[in-house]
Amino acid sequence: MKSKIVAFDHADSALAKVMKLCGIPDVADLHKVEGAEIAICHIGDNEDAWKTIISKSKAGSIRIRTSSVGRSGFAHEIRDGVIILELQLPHDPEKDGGVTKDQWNQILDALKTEGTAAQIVQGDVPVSLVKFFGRSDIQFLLGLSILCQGYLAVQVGPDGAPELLDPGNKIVGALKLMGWNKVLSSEESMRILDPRLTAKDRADRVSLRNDAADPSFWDVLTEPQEGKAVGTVSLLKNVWREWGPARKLEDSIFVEKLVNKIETREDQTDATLVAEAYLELDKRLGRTNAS
Amino acid sequence: MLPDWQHRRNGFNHDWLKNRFLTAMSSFVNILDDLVEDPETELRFVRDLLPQWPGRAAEAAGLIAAFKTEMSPTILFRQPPLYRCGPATMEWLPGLVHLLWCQRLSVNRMCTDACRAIAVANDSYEHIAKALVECASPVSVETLRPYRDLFSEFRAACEEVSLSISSFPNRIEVV
Repeated sequence: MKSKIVAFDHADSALAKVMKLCGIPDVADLHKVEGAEIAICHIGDNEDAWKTIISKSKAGSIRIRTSSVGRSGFAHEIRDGVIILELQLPHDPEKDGGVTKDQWNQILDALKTEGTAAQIVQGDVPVSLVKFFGRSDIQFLLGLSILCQGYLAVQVGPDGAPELLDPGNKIVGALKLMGWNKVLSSEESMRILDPRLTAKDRADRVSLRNDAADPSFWDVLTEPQEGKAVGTVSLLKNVWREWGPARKLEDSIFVEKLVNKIETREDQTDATLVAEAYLELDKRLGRTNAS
Repeated sequence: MLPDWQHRRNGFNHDWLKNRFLTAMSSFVNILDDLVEDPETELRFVRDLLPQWPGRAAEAAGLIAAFKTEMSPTILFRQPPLYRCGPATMEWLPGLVHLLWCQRLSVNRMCTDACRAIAVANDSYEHIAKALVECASPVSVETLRPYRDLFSEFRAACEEVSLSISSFPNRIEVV
């Protein structure tokens, strides 16, 4: 059983406050982290401080790195025997989706069990901790594909016909692959789908189109970084990492164009580009989909 | 990362149904057919494993019922990065993604087929249970031999259950 637990952050931080509620002491001195078996660390982007913490930690100890916006996209690892876990959700319970006091207690209780942290690094995340440490190897590809599907579905009417120009029938082709026309004619569509999606009046879909065209719709894929506006530069890197080393340029041209537009926070007004990108993603995910 | 549903499916289908129950039942049918002699395991199947079926069948039915919620790509909206979708998007996108998934994978048909396979196996089990009550006591290979076809039918029905559960996808599909 692990017992000595500390948090590392400045005293008036959100992490320190929630840790205090959990009865975990907060330390501001790097050296006080050394002997802890579990340390919850918020160090922003001070990589030197992080290296110091890891180098001075004992093998087998657990270091949870946190952020006020969550550290999705960062991989768990074992470095020099130290188990490093990246908290996927914001450490601040006041933030949307942030980890609450009860959830922190749940996390810490689970990590006290020998072997749990190492199991997480190996990708075998206990069900109770998936929300906090679960990562998909292809979470950005899956997310991008889902957003493309949503974007494309709002471009057509209840009969499945595009309500905009579709040169080369790329939009129709993508919708067909998605199975959208079959969904529109299914019994469940009226019960489950938002009624705006199947409304006869084109004007009813305007709010959905505006939502899907807005940069904020796509921004969810970008890595929020503290102190910076949402919409940073790492999405393309993440997408290519997940795509894998066998990526061919000609198989991913439109995905790259779409991601560039997401990163520069442009409105997505080119449905053909989204359709082409979806078709490329479909090929990639159809080959090596994973959970 | 293996979703919990997959762990439960593996526990039922791979570990219990295929590797314990069906294996033991096949051995037992072989004994009834006089193909092998194995006094150690002769009646162990009937005494220990067979009575587990009703509980395990309920477990399988629960798995199928849970499939639509636990393996739908809508669960991706509770994880990074899609958990960051705004409330306006959450109103319409998860439902859309769920229906597309149901449509592409023929989820309803898959669930219906698996439920039907379990129902057939349950019927078959009931025939055996009734036969065991009617069977002259004490229960032995000799007294059970007349019911050999019932065991064989039950084995085939259980193999169908296993096949139908194997046909469910082993990952969360989005395309």
